[in-house]
Amino acid sequence: MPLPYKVVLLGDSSVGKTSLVHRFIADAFNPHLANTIGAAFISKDYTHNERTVKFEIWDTAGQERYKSLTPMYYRNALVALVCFDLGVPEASFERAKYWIEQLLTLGPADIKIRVVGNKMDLELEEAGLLLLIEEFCRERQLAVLKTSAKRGEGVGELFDSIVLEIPQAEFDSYSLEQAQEGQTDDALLLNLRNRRTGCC
Amino acid sequence: MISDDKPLGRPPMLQSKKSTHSFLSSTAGLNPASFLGTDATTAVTLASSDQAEIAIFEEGLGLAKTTLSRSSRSVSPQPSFMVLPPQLALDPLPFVELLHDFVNTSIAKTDDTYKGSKPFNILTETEEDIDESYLEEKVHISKKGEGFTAKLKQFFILSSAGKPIYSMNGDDDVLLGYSGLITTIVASFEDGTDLLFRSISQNGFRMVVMNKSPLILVAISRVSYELMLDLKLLESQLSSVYNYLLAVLSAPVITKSFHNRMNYDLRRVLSAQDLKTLDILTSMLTFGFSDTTDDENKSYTVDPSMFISSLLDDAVQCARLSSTLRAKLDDIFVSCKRLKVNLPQSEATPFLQGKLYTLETTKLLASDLLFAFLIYDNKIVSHLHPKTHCLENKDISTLLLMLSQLSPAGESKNVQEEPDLWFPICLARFNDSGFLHCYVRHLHLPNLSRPLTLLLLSGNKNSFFEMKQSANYIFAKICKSKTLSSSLPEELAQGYLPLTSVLKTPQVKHFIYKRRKANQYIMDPLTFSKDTFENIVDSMFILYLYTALSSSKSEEVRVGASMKKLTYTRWHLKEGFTGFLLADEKYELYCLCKGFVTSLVLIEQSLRIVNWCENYRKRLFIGPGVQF
Ligand SMILES: Nc1nc2c(ncn2[C@@H]2O[C@H](COP(=O)(O)OP(=O)(O)O)[C@@H](O)[C@H]2O)c(=O)[nH]1
Ligand SMILES: [Mg+2]
Repeated sequence: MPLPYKVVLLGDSSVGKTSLVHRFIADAFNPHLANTIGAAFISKDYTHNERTVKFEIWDTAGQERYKSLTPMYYRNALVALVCFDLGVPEASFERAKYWIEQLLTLGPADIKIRVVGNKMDLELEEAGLLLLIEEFCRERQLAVLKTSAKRGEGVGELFDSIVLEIPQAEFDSYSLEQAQEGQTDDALLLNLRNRRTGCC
Repeated sequence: MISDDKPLGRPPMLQSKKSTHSFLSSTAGLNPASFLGTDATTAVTLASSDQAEIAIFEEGLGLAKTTLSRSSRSVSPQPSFMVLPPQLALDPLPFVELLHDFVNTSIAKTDDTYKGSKPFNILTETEEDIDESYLEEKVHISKKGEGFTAKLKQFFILSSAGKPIYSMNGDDDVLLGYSGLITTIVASFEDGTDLLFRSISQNGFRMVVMNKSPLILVAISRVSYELMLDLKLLESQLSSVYNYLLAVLSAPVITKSFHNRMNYDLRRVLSAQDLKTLDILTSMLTFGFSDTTDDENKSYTVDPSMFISSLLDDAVQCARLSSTLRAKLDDIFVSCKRLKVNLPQSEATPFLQGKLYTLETTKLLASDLLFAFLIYDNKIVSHLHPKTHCLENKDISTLLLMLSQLSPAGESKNVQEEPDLWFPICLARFNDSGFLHCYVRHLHLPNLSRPLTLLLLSGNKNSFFEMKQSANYIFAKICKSKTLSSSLPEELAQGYLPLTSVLKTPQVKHFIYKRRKANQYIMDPLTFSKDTFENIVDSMFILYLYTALSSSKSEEVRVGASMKKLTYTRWHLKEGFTGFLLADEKYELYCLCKGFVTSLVLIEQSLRIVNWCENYRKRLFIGPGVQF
């Protein structure tokens, strides 16, 4: 099994989180995707630059009322994609800000946060607001990326860069772990146990 | 549920002149303008029949004489009773003749005269034509202020202080006035008394109120078929709406929201998706269809089953499946519950402290699993529950409603690309103050147009990966079993074969059979034509006929120890329709026929259906499901 790598998507509802995941998984855009309730989990083996990782992605619904459940999804995540809508940046970034602050204060210490402006195809001309957003992120040393799930722009690059940023040491120690586990295979253990207790 | 699964055989029931292909489609061919008769419904009353001495067949005793007699309890025009043998399954024939005589005497006394050709509007029982613009004006949900009062149905969720939280139609400007008025009426009625305000009914208008402080739920109906019944139907609809609210919020959240300020806007906690689901729910509950239009395409989902479920006291629909297959699926559920997995060494817990202690190295994988369902096309295929707890049908219906909102419209056949879903849900009749966590995954079986859906309800919000592993196990078991993997898709697809053709009951065009104890029903599959407008009118027509049938006065007949209820009704609409209801403490059978079918034929065919359904009840119904 390739190196598991947990990613969580956060952000206001309907900024395009599910569409981003769908673009990444199926390389397609489906305008009829069902609304997310709670959260959706999906995994995909992905290879870039001869490195293969098993992405385990939590796509959350962003519903206000289930806020208290969200830590469960980012608790073990290595990367958080905090998304907002470039079509309505002002409204949707408010919520993104909330998640960024929460991750910085309550999230896992080593979680990498990426701020994703989706719906690039709907981006407004006036860049003033975006400058403010970029400044907010720069102050916190966070990268801002732009994507369009609809046109498929920036999505591959986003996940490629995640793979590239993983330190080589993590791949090395993981394959070592795998090799050791091979020796104490589950089935073997069970057999041993049964023999020792004398049953069946 | 409407299916695009091709029936495997060609049903011999297709007799429409317009070459449409089912009972329904042929009513679609029936232009509302051509409905005939103003006094469209003729309920045949049996109460007027005379006392008669009749011979009946008693099981094991041969021919015995019994007297057809009215019960002393009955006050005219209350039902009359007669005594019949307890076992009709053996030889229904004497019973058929007997019932026929019974019905026949009374039919002769009813006014069967033809009332001339006038259009008949099933929604209002007037002569107004139903066309697309009529539906637009009176039926389709609209959030505009103008045209608000033209709608035939309204649903409101208000705060006790009179603030609108949800309305099926209208905008805030219109609603504020209405909400204030309604809450004032309710409050001034209830003030200083122990009484709860329930309803106002007058001339084709009914308002039903459900006071669930700090919320007030209101339904207002001018829909003819909803007014045929007592308050129960609208009250059941309101409790479905309330049950959905509880499902997403839970009771304490609602109470807390209002605790400090009575005017707290609950709308802030409800998402746009919730409001959309409420629109779908209210429209389905009333008219048997819902608007699923998005930015690009106008589209409607037609499905009378939600209305029928509330008509039948919240009965739920089961998928037809041979009992061997169902038992295999049940076994998989039970074995999943017993499945042990090894604990990772770090999690192994010493369970006996002291000098001698052993490490517990295994655990039950699905220890948090409380309820499980396999669902196909909104029908229950298999169900697991604890010995000590059962889910009420209202909760199951809410679960199915949530499920229908989670399924993607565009079908992705690639299982690899479908996510696992995990969401909190409060099943209010089970526990209205806590959330269960629901795991959902679809299994695409070969040769089936719809996925088989697995629902696992867990009491632990952190048990997603355990539920995912349990689902892996369950799906692997299904796919590995030779019998299941080959027969399951085949049998589920056969569920779309019209039963009336299997049963050779050519006069009965559609029927619903409900078993009372389990409160579950099956209904003959409905096939709709492609035209949306016609489908909507057809679906409402079905609702009209079934509601009219169940609200017609029924007669009671004693057969041995059991009381049988029967209703025979004719409708002078177009070429005419006949309805027949037969019920006892075990079952309820509702039949619809095209044209005027004699009671002899109907009784004979109904009994055939009843016998068949009872014989195959294990195949048709899941009963309480399997326990652990
Ligand atoms: N124009 C445009 N629309 C998008 C894009 N991504 C998503 N959408 C649309 O935005 C809406 C919400 O998308 P969804 O993925 O469900 O958002 P989520 O609630 O954040 O998961 C849907 O109608 C999508 O079709 C995009 O890149 N461009
Ligand atoms: Mg989503």
